[in-house]
Amino acid sequence: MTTTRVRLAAIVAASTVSAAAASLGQSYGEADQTLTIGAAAFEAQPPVPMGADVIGPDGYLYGGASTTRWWAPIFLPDGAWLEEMCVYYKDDVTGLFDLGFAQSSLAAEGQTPANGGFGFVASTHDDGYVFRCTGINKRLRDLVDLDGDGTPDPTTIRLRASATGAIGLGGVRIQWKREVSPPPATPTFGDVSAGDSAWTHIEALAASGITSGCGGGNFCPDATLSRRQMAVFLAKALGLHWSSP
Amino acid sequence: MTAWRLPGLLFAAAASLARCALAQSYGDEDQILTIGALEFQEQAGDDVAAIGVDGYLHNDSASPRDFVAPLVLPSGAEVELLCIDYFAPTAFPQVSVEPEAIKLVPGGQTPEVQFLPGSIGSSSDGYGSACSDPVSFTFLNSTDIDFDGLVESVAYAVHAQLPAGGALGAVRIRWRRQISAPPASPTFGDVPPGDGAFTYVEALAASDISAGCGAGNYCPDAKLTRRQMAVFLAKALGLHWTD
Repeated sequence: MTTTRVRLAAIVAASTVSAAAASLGQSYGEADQTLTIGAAAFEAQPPVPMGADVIGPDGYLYGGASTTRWWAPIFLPDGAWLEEMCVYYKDDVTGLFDLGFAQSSLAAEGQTPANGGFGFVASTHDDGYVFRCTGINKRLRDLVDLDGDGTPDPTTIRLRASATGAIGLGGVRIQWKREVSPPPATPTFGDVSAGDSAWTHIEALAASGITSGCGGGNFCPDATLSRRQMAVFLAKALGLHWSSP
Repeated sequence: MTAWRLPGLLFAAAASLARCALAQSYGDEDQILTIGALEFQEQAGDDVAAIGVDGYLHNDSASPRDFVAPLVLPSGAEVELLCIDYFAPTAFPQVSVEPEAIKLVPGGQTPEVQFLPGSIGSSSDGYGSACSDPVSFTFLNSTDIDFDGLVESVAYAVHAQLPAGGALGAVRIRWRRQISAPPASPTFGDVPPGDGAFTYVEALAASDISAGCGAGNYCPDAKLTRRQMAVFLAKALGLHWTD
């Protein structure tokens, strides 16, 4: 109990202190979609001198003469498949710039947080507004074994940019898609075996608390659906409907 | 543990002006997105703002200051109304807020910030709320925001100007989900544009939730089995990754 409470506080603290910003997993279905994280979502940490962390009239974020590190948290669903990232920035022939995903584990008692990173895009010292893309092809998970001790730890994930010189950061566009989770080792329902074409999907519904089957440990996959049942499934699946007057 | 930790957390949150926006409910009814004071940062990078005991973001300097917060909604959301909760020391100058779109450019072009409909100004001194005129614009991640015939990536933000001594509690945005516009030619042979569910069936196809029942058809009048429903729902929501 104590462990859990302390751990929770650590998670809250880490995510709160972790500088800045916003983003949202957006559309539904398994088709590709994009998440755009604008300059306003980034924040300089450690803090930079006054006037060195400026959003210009072009909407891009500019640092100072010394190195500025900007951070923006990423909020995507656990299990999201990251495909590609494009970074829009104003490059400078002598400036230094890179941007990528930074992931940090949250340490239990007696452990030390570990850091990891992937998907980095680096400046090629162009002059002017450019964008550069990189393929990522990685599944985002909340629990990751960053410290290599064999046990996955809770993590926070952010975008981290490092800029020196006349570099402007416009935004980041991430292409990703949803996936259905892999099924468990043992089937939940007697009438939906591992060989069933919809096994993965039915297990995902059970794991989400949307269905507990049709009784007797079965799901009745071939029974047709009544409009009443559909109403229950949809309302439970989407948590419908809390309105704001 | 909690007792000493909490003030620390609040302080950290205020100090870092953490920004976080989240689109919320399902269905295509109206809903509200609240962008709180914590989500704003000072545009000129100066350290002139602080979250007060009232939870509002205060401009403690002697001159007007500009602040921005990211605006993140699902692509396709229709924005209907913007409101602000403010503190203004005098009736003029006003606390003002405008939504804006930042065009992200591929090179050889110049980015530009476009103000969107829905600007708001404070209507009194002291604490108060004010709303924009009703607006109707569709929030799209990729669109031809500058009408030059090319589709570009767009980042959205809300821009606030606080007079000296002014404060902002939140920007509230009324929006709703929309079903996407159907394509020019139907995907399925048995769901033509005249079908009552044409738009919805096309949206399911475009979202990779349904590829139809085979042979280029959707079989709209066939009964649904529980197995089929499970596939629809699990694919639609990307269910269910747990730890």
